[in-house]
Amino acid sequence: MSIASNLWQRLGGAPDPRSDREIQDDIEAEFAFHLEQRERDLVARGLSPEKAHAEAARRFGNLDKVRAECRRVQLGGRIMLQRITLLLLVVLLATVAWLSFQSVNSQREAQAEIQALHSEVSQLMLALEKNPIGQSSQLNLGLSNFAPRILNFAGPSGPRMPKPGATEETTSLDTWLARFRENALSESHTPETALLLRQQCSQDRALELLPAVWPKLGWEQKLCMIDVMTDGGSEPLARAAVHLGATDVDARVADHAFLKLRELTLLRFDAAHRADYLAWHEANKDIVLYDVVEKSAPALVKELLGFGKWNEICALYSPLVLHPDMPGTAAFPDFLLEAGALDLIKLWARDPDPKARVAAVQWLAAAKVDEVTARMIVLPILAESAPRDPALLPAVCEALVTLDCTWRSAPLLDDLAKVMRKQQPERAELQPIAVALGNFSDQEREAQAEVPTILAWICRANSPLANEVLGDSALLHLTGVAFDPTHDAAWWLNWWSIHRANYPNAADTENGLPRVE
Amino acid sequence: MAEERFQLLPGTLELLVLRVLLRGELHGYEIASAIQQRSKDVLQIEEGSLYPALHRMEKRGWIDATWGQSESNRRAKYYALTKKGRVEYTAQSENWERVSGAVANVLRAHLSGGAIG
Repeated sequence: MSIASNLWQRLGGAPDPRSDREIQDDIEAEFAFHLEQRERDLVARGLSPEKAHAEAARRFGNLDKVRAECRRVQLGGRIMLQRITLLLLVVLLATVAWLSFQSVNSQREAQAEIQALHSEVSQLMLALEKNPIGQSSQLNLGLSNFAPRILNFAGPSGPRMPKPGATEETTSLDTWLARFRENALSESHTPETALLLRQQCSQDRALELLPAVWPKLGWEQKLCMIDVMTDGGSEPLARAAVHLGATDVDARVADHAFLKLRELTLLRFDAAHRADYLAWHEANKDIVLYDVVEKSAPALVKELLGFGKWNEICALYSPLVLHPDMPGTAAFPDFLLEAGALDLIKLWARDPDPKARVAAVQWLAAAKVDEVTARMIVLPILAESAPRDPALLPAVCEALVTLDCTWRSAPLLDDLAKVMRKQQPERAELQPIAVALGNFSDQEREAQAEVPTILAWICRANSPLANEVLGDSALLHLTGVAFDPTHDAAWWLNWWSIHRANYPNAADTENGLPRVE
Repeated sequence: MAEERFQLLPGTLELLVLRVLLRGELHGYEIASAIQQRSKDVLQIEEGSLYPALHRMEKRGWIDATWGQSESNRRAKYYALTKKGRVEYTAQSENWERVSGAVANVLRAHLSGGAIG
């Protein structure tokens, strides 16, 4: 017998239309008829009615037991069905409850995501207002711009697909020109139209439109176009824009294009040697720029090591870290180190020019040196009594965080001690240290180990300057406590007594704060 | 000497009921009486135990049950063999024949001193 038919029989076969009550009544009626027949039979054989009744009952056996057995047979399937139904109902309810829980969770997560996106968009809008994209710092590559930075280069991968609803594939050249004029690029440098061309056209269409538009652009528009295409455009678009610029009759455009080419490829061409560039371009048309970089970088570094002036080296070498999207990105720091970056860093770290030392620290992070090497380079720089460049502490802070140094707060706390031990600590000295310490709050750490030491210094000095600078620039970020002028040593001691369990116990002193004297 | 009565072997009640119902539609009391009469009162069944068996057989589809009028004009439940019940009867009776024959053979061999093992 198959499992299905066995189960069907266990469940009682076809459903019985009778109610439970009717089934029980039928059972009773059947038993009563049987007993009555037997009694009549026995009376007919000569037994008295009383004896016949007793004999019939005896022959029938245990009436209750038989009744229960018949009920079980008749209602067993129905009871089993009821149990299965109940079980399914419980499972269904549990599933509904689980799905509801999941749904609420998903909704909550989605809301959090939306809020985070809102916040990100607000920050971006704020940043755009403060620093319009068109006013690229790359137009003026001064010494202050040598810091390693990320060039948002889209990489050599395929064409950008047009966004949904974009009709730029069919937009005429005249329409594009009209858009450029409407945006008045020559006055404001707003690169909106260039961005449209880059983002909403397919790569093939953009490559077709760019040379067609180029002769009709003003020189500032051309600079803008080069910037937009090299900072976020695809590799072919960037190269096309640079090539158009490099071959432009306007020297300002050509100079800018060659500057970009140097950033992208490390190759140093200029307008005076345009023929050399054209020969190189012709010979390397089919090679992506990243391959050019990979080939030219080691030779360049070797050459740079012979330079005596750090700023010249830095100016020439900085493009190396502008290529985070170069094939083998993860191995890039290794490549930098192999190319001799560490020698350059050590060279700069000993340079008398304060800016050279800043550059050394900035390159530590770019080259991803190990913690020990970083310590050997950073500590002597911080220990020097020579005047510091304002960019030094932020650079140290960023490098130590990027390198995830476990000892990162130690040199800054030493620095803080040096300043605080002075009779009259100056705001100009204290502020950068406090800001740098506050920057460590971004890191996900179990506890902010710097807090007790900073509090100890506040308690020791209890001066309005220390209270304000350390409270507003460091503790605000490390503890989340908004600065208030009333937050003096006593106030912080009280705060510490409440929150000290959240922080490492820095020293075995009466109030748990380290001794700083 | 008082007449000796025997309890039914497990599983044989259903076979007996199927056999009795071969002759036609009967109610529970008639079935119990028929079994007793045909066994010449040798097989003793507790009459009540007949009904769970009947209900089980009804559930299995071997017999059909309908309410009707008895000879005494009382409402009674009548059972009739179904096609499935006839097939079942054939299978069970053949099985019984084989088993009882085998048991008889063994017993005869033992009584006549033959080897049984």
